[in-house]
Amino acid sequence: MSGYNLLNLGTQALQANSSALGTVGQNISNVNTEGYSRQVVNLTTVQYRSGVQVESIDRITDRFLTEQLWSDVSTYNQSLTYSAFSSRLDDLLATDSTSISSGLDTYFSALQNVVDDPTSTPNRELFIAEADALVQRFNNLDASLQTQNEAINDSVEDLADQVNALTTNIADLNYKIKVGTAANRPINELQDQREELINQLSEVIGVDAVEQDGNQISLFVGNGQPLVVGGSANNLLAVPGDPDASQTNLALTISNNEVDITDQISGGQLGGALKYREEALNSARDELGRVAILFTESMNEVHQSGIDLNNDLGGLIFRDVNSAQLQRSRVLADSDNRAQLEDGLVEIEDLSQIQASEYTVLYEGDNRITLTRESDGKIIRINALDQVSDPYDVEQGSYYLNANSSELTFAVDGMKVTLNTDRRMSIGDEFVLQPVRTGAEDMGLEIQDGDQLALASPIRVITDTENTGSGVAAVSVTDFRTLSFDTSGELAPPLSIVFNNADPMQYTVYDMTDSLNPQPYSYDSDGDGTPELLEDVTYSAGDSIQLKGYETTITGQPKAGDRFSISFNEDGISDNRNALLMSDLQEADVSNKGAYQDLYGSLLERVGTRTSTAQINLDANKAVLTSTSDAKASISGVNLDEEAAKLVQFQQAYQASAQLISTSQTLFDTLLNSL
Amino acid sequence: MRISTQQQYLKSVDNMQRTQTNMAELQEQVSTGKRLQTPSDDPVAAAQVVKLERELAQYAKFEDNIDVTERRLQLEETILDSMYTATTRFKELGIYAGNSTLSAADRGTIATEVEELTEYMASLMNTQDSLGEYIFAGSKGGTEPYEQLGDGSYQYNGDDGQRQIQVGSNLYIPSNDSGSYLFEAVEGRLQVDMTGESVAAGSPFVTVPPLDSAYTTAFPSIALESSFLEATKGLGDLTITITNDGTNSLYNITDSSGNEIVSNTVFVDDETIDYEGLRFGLTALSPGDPDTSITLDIAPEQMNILDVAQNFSYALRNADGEDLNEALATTLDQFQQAADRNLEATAALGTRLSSIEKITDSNADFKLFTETALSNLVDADLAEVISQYALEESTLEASQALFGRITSLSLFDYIN
Repeated sequence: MSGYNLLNLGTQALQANSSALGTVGQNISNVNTEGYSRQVVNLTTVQYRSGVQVESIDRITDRFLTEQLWSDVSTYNQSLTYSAFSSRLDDLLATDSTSISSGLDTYFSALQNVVDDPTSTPNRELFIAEADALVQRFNNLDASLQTQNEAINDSVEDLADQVNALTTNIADLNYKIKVGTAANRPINELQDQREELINQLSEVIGVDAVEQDGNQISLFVGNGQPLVVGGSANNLLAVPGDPDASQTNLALTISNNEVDITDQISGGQLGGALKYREEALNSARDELGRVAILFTESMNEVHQSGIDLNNDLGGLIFRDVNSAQLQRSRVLADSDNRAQLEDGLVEIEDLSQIQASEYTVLYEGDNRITLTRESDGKIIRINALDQVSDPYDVEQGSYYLNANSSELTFAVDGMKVTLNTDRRMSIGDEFVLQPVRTGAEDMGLEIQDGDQLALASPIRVITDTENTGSGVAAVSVTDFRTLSFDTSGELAPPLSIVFNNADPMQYTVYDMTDSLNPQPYSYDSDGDGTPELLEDVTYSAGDSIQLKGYETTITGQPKAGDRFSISFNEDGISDNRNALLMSDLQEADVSNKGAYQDLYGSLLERVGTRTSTAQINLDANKAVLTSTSDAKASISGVNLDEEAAKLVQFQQAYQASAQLISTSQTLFDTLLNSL
Repeated sequence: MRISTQQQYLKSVDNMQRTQTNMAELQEQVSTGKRLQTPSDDPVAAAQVVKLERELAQYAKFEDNIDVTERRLQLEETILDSMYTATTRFKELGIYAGNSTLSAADRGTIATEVEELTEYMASLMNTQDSLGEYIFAGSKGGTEPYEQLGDGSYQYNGDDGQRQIQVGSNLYIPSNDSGSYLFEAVEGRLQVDMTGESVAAGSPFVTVPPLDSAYTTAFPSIALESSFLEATKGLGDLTITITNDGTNSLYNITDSSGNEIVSNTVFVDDETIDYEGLRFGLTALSPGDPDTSITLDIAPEQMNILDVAQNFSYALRNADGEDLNEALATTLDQFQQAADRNLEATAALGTRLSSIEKITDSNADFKLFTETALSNLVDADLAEVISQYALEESTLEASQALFGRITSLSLFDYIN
């Protein structure tokens, strides 16, 4: 072996160990760098005892774990965002100051005060003030929900920008890595950076990563929509929703075409925000809106069946839920429709059936029309309902479609929907119905003056003082729209019910318009369309006699000659019968899901369940993420003790290599001196 | 397994944060005393809390309603009591006035007392509550119920409305009684109300009393009224139909369900017809005239106690001998009827007040029950929460101690 060879060996070893020390240094320096994968020097022997060389400097990483981590990061961030929004809603509903239920308690308590003392002006004014406060509560709570919607819109926009910044950088790194590999330059750090950027992207949006050409990573969202392909990235745009422009959607620009991918996005903060909006926020607004509409409409209905201090029939306490403007605001047409909507109306018809949901009407061609209830996905085939030939005949469970397929009226789920388009509807034409979405926002107070509170019943029934039987009569308004009073505040006609001595007992209803010559009264009591003479009708206790807009119920045992007269309740200012009916609504099952506060309670329950489920998901996803990132850190992370040991190891090797050079010099000197 | 240095730090921090979050939640529970902070803490309980709180709010309202109702009923009770005392005095005066030794001047003095008492009673019957509402006017609380007409008699202007107040979840109590029930309780003489086409046209074919009669009423005596009532009991309204068969005018009488009780009988103009004591005349029809009928509603006239008292004072001032005795007998009987209705109403009030007492007790029981249920759902078990807190605290201390130990270990410390 020549001294030169020894020198050469020493130099090579010196370089190799120096390189190894450098790598240790790199590892130590990057101990806290996010996304850094530790590197090791791969040393190999040079053949024929000619020393050592650096074969390569490798990143220690595991592709499977990296991809698993991206997926876990996106799932975790989705549940984190969802849970954050949901907790805010949960907190919002928890405070007493926003609680609709305690607002209703206060409202009904004020109503009880007027029940107790209907003549008291302060009680009446207080009730109106409380009604106003309740309206404010509904409005404010809805405004808070809308604020969340706006927060989601804003964050969708911000996050779309972030996605674009990240995808541009990832595409750029793809390009650099391609060039670097071709030029045989080190690409470890570029790969680390790219993985870290994809990791950051996964925090925002769930992506599928596909490795192509050995070193290129392409990213896809949803059903394979390309976000990054090799060196180029597609732009993600925040666009107004169609047809509901109040909700920002996401569109991907693929070769200059915008494709709405909102429904396809899952994972990441975007996935969390969109899922929350879709599943929790919109349904919470629908539920709140439904409570508001049920409350408003049922209260108005009863209030309008009474009379106020001025002997006038009651007006609206709250804004009419079926005003033309509100009916129109509940229909949205997709802008891609070929048949343009000329007029769309959703009327609240049967309160007990109204659902807290959004609906989609889709024209599938050949007069086949489907209605999808979004809350549970139930599909109703409109054309399978009963068809009627006049839109005015449409009632729950039937529909009307004109020959030209441009006028559709149908009634299901307690609502009546009318859609008129400018031409025949085409396949794929879509309309969105939001019957209750803005119910709480639209709520308003109409009544201003305590005198206008209609607390009395418009009808009084007087038991003749000469009656000898034990019959007791009561009247209640069944439909204030058909109640008839002439201008002077008289019931038209005033009636008298007289019992005779037939066995079993019978009664006759007399029209008392001419009190000296009463005539048996004709009315369509059984609702079959033809009026019948109410003469010598067999009496059975507790039967209701249906009259024009009201009914009379007589109980007990009247005797022959007993009479009950029915007239307008003029100056009945102490009467609280209508106020009692209003106050009874607190406990009434106004919908098939119970009373107002039961509905509000189930809203709380649903939000609470969603929030606690979101929290459980979050904890679970966090545990999964921790375990994956532990596994990854365990492989790729830097351990300082390990590096310290390596430092000593390579330092000693370096010193030994230096010794080789020194020895080679000594050998050389020895040789020179011996000459 | 390899552990990376970063991992060591992150894990420790993560654990400490989790413990601190738990401690913050427990601390919140301790400081508010509530287990249920947000609906998500227990969604099912949150829905139940809404229901229970609604019930509590209602029970609080029922208590108010009970106070209001009690106050109104007690006021009514006081007035009825005064009315009873006055009625008793009337009866005493009626008995005293029957004393045959009294002179006309003495009876005049009694009449004066009766008149003063009548005014006093009228003022009681027009009582207003603190808000100015007439309490005996039924639903017409803004209308003075007893108005004195030009002839001195009193007319009832209210109706028979009753105000129901909710005092329990399914219990409504009437908080007033109308004057028509309380005071229009005295039966007077029988009164005949006629209806029919000819009545409306202003020329009824029935004349009561009959045209040639000296009687002033359809019933010459109270005895005949009684026998008429007995005979027509349960028949209801009677209908008199007159026809002409071409030669004679005929009449028949049917009961309220159309059964003939007097078959076709020939009559002539101005003939006095007697049906079970009811005297009337009929106007004959000409041949070819259409049949016509009139319905009679015959029932005792309902009088109020003020009318009775006024009749009493009128008799004291204007009648003597047998007339006076008869009038006094009627008056005493009528005062007794008024007193009976007063007692009946007072008894009903007593029943209402005692049901209010009972419902107050049961409301209190339900309220306590509801409060307990609510507390079970909402309130934190402090002993449990505090011991949990202590546990979390020791966990945190241990984590912190461990962090200090782990981070102080480094191989670099041993390399020189």
